Amino acid sequence: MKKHIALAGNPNSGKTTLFNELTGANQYVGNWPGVTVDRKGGQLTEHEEIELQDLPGIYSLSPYSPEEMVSRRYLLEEKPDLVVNVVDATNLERNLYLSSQLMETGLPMVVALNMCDLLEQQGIKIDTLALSRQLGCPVVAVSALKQTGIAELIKLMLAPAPAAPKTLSYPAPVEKSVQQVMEGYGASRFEAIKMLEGEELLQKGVDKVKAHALEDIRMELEAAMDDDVSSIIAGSRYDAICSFIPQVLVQRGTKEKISRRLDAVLTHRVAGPIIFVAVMYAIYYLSINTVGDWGTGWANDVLFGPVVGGWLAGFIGSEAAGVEALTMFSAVLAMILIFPTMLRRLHDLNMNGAWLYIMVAPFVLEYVCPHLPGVLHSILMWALLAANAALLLMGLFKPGTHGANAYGSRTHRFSARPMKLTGRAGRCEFSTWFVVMSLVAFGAAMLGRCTLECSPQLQAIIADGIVAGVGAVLGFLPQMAVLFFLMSFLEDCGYMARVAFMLDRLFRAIGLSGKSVIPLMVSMGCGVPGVMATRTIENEKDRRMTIMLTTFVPCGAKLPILALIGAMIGQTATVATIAYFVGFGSVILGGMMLRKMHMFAGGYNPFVMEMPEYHMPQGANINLRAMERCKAFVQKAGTVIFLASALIWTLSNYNWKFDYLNTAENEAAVEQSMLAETGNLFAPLFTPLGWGDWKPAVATVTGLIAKENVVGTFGVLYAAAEESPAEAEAAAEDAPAEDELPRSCDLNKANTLSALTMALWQADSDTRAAKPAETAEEAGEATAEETPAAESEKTLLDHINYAVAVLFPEVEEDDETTGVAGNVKAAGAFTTLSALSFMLFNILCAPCFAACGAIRREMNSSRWTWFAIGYMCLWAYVVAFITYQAGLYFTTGTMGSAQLVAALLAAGIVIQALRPNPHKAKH
Amino acid sequence: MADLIIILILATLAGLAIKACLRKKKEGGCPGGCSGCGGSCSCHDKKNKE
Repeated sequence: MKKHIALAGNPNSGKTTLFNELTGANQYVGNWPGVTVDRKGGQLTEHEEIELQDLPGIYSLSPYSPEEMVSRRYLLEEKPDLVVNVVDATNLERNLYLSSQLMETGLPMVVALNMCDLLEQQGIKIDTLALSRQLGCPVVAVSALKQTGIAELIKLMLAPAPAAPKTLSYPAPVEKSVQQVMEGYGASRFEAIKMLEGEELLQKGVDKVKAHALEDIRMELEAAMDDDVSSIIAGSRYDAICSFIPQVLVQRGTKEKISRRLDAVLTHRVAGPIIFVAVMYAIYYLSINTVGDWGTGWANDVLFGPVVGGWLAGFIGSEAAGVEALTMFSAVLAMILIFPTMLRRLHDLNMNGAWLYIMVAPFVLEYVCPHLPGVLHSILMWALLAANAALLLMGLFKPGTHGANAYGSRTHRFSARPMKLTGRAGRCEFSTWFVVMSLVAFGAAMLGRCTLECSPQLQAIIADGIVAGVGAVLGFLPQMAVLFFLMSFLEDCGYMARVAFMLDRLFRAIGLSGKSVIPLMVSMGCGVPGVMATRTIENEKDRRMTIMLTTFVPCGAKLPILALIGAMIGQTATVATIAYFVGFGSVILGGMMLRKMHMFAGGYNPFVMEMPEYHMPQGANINLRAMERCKAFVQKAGTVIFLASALIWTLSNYNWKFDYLNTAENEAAVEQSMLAETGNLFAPLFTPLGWGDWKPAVATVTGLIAKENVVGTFGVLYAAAEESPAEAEAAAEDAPAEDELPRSCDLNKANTLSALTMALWQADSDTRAAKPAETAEEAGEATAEETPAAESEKTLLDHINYAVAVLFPEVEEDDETTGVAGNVKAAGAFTTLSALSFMLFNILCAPCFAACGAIRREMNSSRWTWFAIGYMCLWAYVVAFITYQAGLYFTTGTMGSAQLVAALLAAGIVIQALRPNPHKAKH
Repeated sequence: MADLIIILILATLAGLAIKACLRKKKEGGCPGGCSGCGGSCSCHDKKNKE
């Protein structure tokens, strides 16, 4: 017979982590009927007769929020066999408030004192036996994160249900009133207390006479205690809890909590916002300017250049790809296919951070080692090589810490979905996928020797359309990955909760609801859940206003636009930070202006939020969150961007009569394309913003499908400019001969991939050497090259160095902007001002279709949806217009009608934002 | 023949991409990746099932 157990507790008490630990993969998710609250259930691992229900996190059993109603209804109507009350041991007093109410329901209860590991760090100890005596129910210390105490908890869950816990004792007048209600209305203690508190739900069906009597009991209690009943009851609960806390806390920490010390600085009225700006700048600097930029530079210059380009030319073109390109292609593809399994394998080995090393090591070899003196150079190089080899061997042969492929003790040889990011992978699974995916990648790479010689149009749509578009977006993946990683770290360590606290202070001052903070913070990842998170705002006017403002914050999809414009201007981190704060500024200004309008007047929601203690985030959690975002980024590139790039290429290479324009050979012909002629219809609208050309106008429109599409469209429309004959000759003179080492690098640059490169290159060299020249031209080339004998005299070092030189081209100090940013810059499409204006417009205007759909669902009104979208587009236009025209005035001294209009608009915004609220006196 | 092979490959990829886009639209999920909103989106249903 099934036993039903409910998990109840405060939000952030670790309930869900404990639930995941207890159920493993045996979970299901649905919806509680009538409310938009998730229902999570599952079976206890290896005990399928135990059904666990994870109730929503709540602070009390009052029926005011949907979560509270759901939990209360489940406990009182479905009456589970046992309630496991998950209590955050680091906030005992607050968490026991809910416990006191759970005790009054009369259901058997066990208290799981969670986060005991954090308690130990704070130097605090709780006497669980003493607590158990006070509450009248078993208490077990657990740490869901560190997986301690779980076995004891499971034993209690399997044992026969304990007796109902005793209830807390309240002051005599309160107890007297409770008894009167219990006897007079036949209510349980829980119901009696709730009726005294004035809960309407329980008073339905009570006749007028009894309702008057209840009111008399309340008034008598209020007179006796000189306070309102709700405060009396709440105060009585806390007094009862505080009366036994000193007996339970046997050892207190003597050192001041680090969190409080940090909060004194990080949430300071003046220093707090400054530190926040500095932190965000540092994050963007690290991710977009330095670490991420190395990866993006490599992706643009190497991966989507000679490697993918070479492979593609060999597959669909007429020239077989070189061995170096194929080796690199094979290695990158294998890495992509193995990466999810590798992450899960590292999780099984408890080495979650090692993936960072694996990705960064090649760049350290390339960019750090050359600058070190000789001995350090060798030591670092060999250390990195040895670590690489050790990691690979551990992945293949070392048993995992838990020996499991999923949470819990059940093991699986292979996961059902190897590309998933959660769970663990055993050595069997990893070694199999390592071999299989390596072979698949090798096979795919060999397609680069097929030379199918497709038609030029087909080659063009693939190379100049799809690869250019998708490659332009994916080129930013390294920067996005580092950014997502750093943002996940910030969120998990507890700092973002402090940011929400600081923003709440600011938002209340300007009339925005404090609860608007959460949707805005969520929108930093994606606008869709950000809009959905506005459901927590009860006041309809506040909710609508928040929906209209929340997508101003740059989401993850807008980051490639920031990176593109920043790269063009040459100040990526500064541009990204400015865009971020323009977004927040738009929220603040928008809130100040809209609040003055009648349709948004009034309404104020108090905001209660829990500030978790600062803690070092778990590597697995950061990995998972960052990788999920990266996976979504790549998925979008492979779906939406893929389709859009093909469509844009087609529309920009065919005219209305469907004649092929061959813009690769005749650039001017693009002006006759369908896309250009359509774009020219609405491009003049953007002339006052400084970018009245059809290409950026079209890119803005395609950005409505997905914001990354702006970059993808640029990648297609601004293809690399053809070199003039003089430039080509100069480039050929600078390029190293094939048999010449490109630079003075040595064995220190070797890595594991290079050994494979060497083997294949040697094999290819031998093959080429043995093949007779088919034409006189080829014979001439052969004599110019080294003879086969000389070729085979090349050392391992030579082979390795050449391969590495192809993989990591030397970056000149005065290197020009590369990739799509370089192409746009070379085309002279933007000035600095117009680029900024373009960026601001795209960040602030209507969000992508998915977010518009979310707005439509949450607004539940077409009229309001169009109003919201219209407001965003208008605001974006005005901000971009003011930016461009004001910039023109300050840089060139131009003062014309456009500048006057911009000044008037700016003045109008300031006046509307700062004027007194005419509706404030009414509330 | 080569053109036909490539067109078939492209058509298959395009079909898979369209199917993925339609599935996302139907689920109403978060295209931009989960940012830990706390389960207010249907993405969490799928992730939690995994």
